[in-house]
Amino acid sequence: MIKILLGYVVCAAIILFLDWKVVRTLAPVNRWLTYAILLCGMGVWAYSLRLDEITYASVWVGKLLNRWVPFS
Amino acid sequence: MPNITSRQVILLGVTYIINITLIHVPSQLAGYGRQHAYLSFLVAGLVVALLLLVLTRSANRFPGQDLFQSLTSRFPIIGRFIGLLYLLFFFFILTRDMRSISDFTNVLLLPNTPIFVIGLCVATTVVYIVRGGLRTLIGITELYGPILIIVVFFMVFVVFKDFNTGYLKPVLYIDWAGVGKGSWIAFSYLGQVLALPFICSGKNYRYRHGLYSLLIGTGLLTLIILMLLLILGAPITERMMYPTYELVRQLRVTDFLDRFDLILVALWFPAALLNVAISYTLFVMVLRRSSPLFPVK
Repeated sequence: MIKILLGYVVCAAIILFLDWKVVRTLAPVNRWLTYAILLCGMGVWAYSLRLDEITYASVWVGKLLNRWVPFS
Repeated sequence: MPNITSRQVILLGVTYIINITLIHVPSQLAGYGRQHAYLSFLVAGLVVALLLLVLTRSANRFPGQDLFQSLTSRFPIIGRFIGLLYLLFFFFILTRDMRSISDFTNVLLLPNTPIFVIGLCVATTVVYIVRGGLRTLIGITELYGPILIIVVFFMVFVVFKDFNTGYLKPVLYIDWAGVGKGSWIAFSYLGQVLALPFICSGKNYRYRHGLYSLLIGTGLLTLIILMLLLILGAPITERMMYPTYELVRQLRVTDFLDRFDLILVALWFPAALLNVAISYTLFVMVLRRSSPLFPVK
């Protein structure tokens, strides 16, 4: 599990390394938003690797919208 | 915003409609409409044409801006909210297409490769396509759009001799409820053409471009599902996960030109990646314009 999360950290580091010139010139709020999006991505990735019951957002929205589908 | 010609806009719309739709939607339509599954595309196409007219007329009131820019400039809060709804729509298309391509590759081409690795390769390629901007998207569309169209017509010529018109009978007894359910499913796939007013600004895009895309895309999809019904029949088509791949496997040009399906999948796959890239480009564009934190340069 740790290895897989480390894999994500390596990918995030590569992304930041490739785009560092652009990220450095961003306003502080945009820079921190970029970091926050990467951290949220790691959170979603770790959540999806759990062995317990996982709620997928698309399945949940599908259940909500199901009542408006015109046929069963 | 680069200058896009009308031919490029039409090809973009056609590829966005057909590439992912053709792999698994025909089986769902055949399940509901049976031998009249092709009518579902026609009914859904009519509804989408009307939606496209309304959206295009709204977009053309603001020349020089794409639809999202005009929404947010006219109604700052409600416009952003509606834009975010469209964002959710294109985000669902993005995730659905990623899932479709990864699943297709895992089931048919690379069964021993973990699906995560396939998804990672697809995502990396798509990110690099999108980093190239709209010019890269249009360049790929100019190459793979005509190829896909030619491939569909080529398939008709090759499998024509195996058509069995008995599979379309009874012709006049139409289960309209089934066709209606099928058109509900086809509607969201054909509705992807609504991306055109968001991608192109008013000076590049007219209603006739979107209409031609919709007509050509719907025509090609109808042709594909007709081929499926005439060769495989409705009962087999509805039970298959990827009926179009099975149809392509029926292509045999001569005795030694076997496994034609590999060549066609090799031609189709980059076009499918293009679809995901278009969805991702839209997602990024709408997110940029809706958020005050990301200034549009």
